Amino acid sequence: MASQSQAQAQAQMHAQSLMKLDNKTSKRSNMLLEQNVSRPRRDRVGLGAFAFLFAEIIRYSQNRVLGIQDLEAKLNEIGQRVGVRMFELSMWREKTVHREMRVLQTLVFINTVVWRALFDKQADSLERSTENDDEYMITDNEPAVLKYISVPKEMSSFSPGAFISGIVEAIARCCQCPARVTSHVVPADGLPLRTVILLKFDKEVMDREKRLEAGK
Amino acid sequence: MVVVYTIYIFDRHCECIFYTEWNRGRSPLSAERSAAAATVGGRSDGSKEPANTAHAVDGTGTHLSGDSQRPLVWPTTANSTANRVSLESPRNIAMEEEAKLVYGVAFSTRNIINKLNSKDGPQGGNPGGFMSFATNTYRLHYYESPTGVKFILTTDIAAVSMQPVLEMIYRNIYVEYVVKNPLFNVDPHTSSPIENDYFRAVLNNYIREISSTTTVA
Amino acid sequence: MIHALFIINRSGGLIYSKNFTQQVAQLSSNEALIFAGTFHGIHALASRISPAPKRDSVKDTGIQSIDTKNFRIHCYQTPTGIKFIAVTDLLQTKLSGALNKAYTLYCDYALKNPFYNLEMPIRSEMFDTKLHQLVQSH
Repeated sequence: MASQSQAQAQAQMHAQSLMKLDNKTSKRSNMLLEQNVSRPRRDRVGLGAFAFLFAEIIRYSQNRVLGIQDLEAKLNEIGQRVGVRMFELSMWREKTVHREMRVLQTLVFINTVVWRALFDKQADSLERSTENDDEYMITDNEPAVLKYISVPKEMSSFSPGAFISGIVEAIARCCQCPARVTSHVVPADGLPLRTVILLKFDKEVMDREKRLEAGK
Repeated sequence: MVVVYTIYIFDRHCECIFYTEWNRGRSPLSAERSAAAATVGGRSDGSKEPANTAHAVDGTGTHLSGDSQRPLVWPTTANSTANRVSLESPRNIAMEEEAKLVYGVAFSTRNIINKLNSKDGPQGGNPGGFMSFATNTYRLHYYESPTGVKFILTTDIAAVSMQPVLEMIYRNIYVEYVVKNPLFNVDPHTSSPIENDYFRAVLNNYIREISSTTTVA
Repeated sequence: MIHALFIINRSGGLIYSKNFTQQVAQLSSNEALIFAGTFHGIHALASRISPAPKRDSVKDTGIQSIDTKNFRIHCYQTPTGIKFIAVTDLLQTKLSGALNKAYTLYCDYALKNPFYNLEMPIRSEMFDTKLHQLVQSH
């Protein structure tokens, strides 16, 4: 304890000397680097910085794949790595004692908590497919990560939202509701980047859901 | 109040037949040239050069050109270093090169504007109506007579439209004092510089007049 | 009213050209390339032939506008050497604001697009759309 408080005092002194040198930079480093990880609301990353990074991720992947499906799979995989970590962080921040396992609860968790942590807003809609019981759709009208991306005509079937679907897929798996998740660009009036994340839950998940429903 | 820097007149053979300047600084090209010449020549007594008071083209200076077929269009007394260059060669090469650049810039600008104006229109002349362009330090005005004589005037950027002035120079000064002069070489196959003191004097007066008036018609 | 817009990269290559009205001739791709190359050249030369007295603090930046009988051409050169050129009607006296916005769009929707190759022609739907909105609002 003693050494800890000493370290704290040192850090404070250091911060003060920084403040003397340049008030502005020390304030900024306060905001970004010295922020507590449990306070999620205010820590934002510049969209421009992210856009450049994401563009490079796509370029990098594009040079190492054979086709569009391959590229989407690659982005999905990268998204999954983000998703697993995101899940851990969200659970810890939410301070909930239990973990969602039911399909609907999982979906709502993704729709609200995860989306807010990632994009600072809720997803625009959450729907169940009218054709298949095991299919659900999360729609985002303007996904922030895709804001600057224009897919060339010769690749029109490519959906850069595969990255988001990867995140969703990993979170669904962590919630014990494994699903196959794909993303599709479905433009609407004035919303050229409207993206639908389609979750198709595995058969055993749906079976389990039925048993749980029956057991009630 | 218009600040006029230079005027160039080019004939149909793209030759500069007249040049004169007012209020202008040292041209960057002649500065480069003279710096190069100074290092090559290695002379250091620049201040003791005889000071010519008149422009070479005014008649007194033409003896410098000697065997050159074309008399000088260029002033040789812009400053002492430029003077040295002109003494080494009968022509002021830096100024001549600058005139070529000026012509090239104006001509290319005219051409792309003709193209933008109408793709399949006639390519000669100035159907696109190129009038002037401006940078942050000067404005270049362009006027082309129906006979293909090109007048280029450079001023400060505030002088927006000098078309009437250039037309006036063409109609009432160039035609009156150059074309109507019986000694002017009108052979359409060769170009000859304007060595006409009367023309120069009238032009000088006119430019002085528009420089001092507050508004340009 | 903006009739047409061209973007020229730092080596004089045309990377974007678009006509918004019928007021200026629609150049073929070859003619547009020639236009870009020529403009790049005269822009550079114009700054070398400045007759204005030299001041150390003021450097000639090259052509900023061209006046013609039927239209006016505005040029905005970015500090990085990219030129945004707009052909407008004669009523537009100053267009640097709009061209600056076009530069912003270029930074956002061309540079941040993973499918854009630097110095190459811009083929980006989002850029087209946003630029069209910008021109319409002008």
